[in-house]
Amino acid sequence: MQIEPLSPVPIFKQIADGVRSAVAAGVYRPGDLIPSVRAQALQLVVNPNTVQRAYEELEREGLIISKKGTGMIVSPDSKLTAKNGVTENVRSGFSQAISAGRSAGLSRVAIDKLYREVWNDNTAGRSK
Amino acid sequence: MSETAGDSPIRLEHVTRRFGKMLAVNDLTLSIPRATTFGFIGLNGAGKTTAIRMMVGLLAPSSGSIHVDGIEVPRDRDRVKTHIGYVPDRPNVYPWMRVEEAISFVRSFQPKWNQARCDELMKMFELDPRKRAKHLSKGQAAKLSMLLAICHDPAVLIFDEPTSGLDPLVREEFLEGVLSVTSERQQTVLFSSHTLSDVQRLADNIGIMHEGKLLLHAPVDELLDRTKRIRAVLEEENGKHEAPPGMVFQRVRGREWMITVENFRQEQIEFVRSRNRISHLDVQDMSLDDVFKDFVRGQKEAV
Repeated sequence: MQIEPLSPVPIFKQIADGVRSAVAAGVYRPGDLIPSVRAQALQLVVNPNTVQRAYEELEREGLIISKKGTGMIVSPDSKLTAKNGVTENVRSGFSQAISAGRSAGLSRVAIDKLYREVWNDNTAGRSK
Repeated sequence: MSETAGDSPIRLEHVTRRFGKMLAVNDLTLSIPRATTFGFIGLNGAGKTTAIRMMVGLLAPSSGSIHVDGIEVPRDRDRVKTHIGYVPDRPNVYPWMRVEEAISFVRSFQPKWNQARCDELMKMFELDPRKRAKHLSKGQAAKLSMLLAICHDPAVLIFDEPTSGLDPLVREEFLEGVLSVTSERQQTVLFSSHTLSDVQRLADNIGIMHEGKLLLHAPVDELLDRTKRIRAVLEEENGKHEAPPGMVFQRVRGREWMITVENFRQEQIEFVRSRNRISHLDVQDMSLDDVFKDFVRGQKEAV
């Protein structure tokens, strides 16, 4: 996971996104312990309160659950939750790109075409 | 470890400091809650170092009152020294001293010195006890400075530009050191810095000083949430434009009109739309760097 301190995206959000994508990718699997607040803070060199805030958000959406005496674990039905989170991010990325395109006067057809081009560039040489 | 400090181990009330005719710090009121980290930012000469030197008892205020961990400063400044860990903006170790000599020198003033912690930090920072201070690299000197400031387990840590002049790797190590110390104790930290990425990583709250005054004091996340840049495109180049309430700073270049607003809300957008002839409008998030610059620029233009 990487943090970009000078991005306009608040750091707690970057951390939450990082954990979401790690769970979606299977770095952490259901039942796995995720790094403690302190360990995560030290590793990313950020304020522990910021990590705490990210974990609270993930706990609220059900991606992680706190287990007494052990710490935070990835919840059993996390794959689904993580996917939802990632879907949200993709949606907001599209939304930004589309509104930027529209305000510059691009048509729906032009944006569709761009989307396909980007998809092809992105998946070139891969099986999917 | 604390006395009746309430919930704010650093508390300044209407603190003013003059140097001759110059107002270095102008009516500064500030309180920093326990176990939080406060990032103190501002241009050079904004008054940060003067404020810090008053907090640690090195400089008396012209008026106002200061309490650190419940102790009145500068009245009880000898007593407050055991409650504060202070890293000044310039090295404070005698250049001819060896690292081990500097340590035993400082230890002699600190009855609550924690030698185990000191040994642990020596190892972590890879400091050579036999080396003379003048032969330390900048990074090592900064680490020694920090070690000397924290081994008495003070309730309050005050760092004046601790990372300036350090290369990125040493800076990272230094910040890790600060975090590993403060994250397991309920310490209250104030640090000044020009490196806003460090501030964004470490601080719960930030304060912006400008010309001796505290312009703004807010939680970092909230500040980023609430400060936005509205970009509007004017129908006419350099055309007439009326800024919305809450405007911090604005700039017009040709058709492009950038307005930085605080406490962002929908009615600001409606205001811009209804009172101006514009063909396009969008809203952008801002980095802490840009937020800081626009608050200071706005202040400069207001004069």
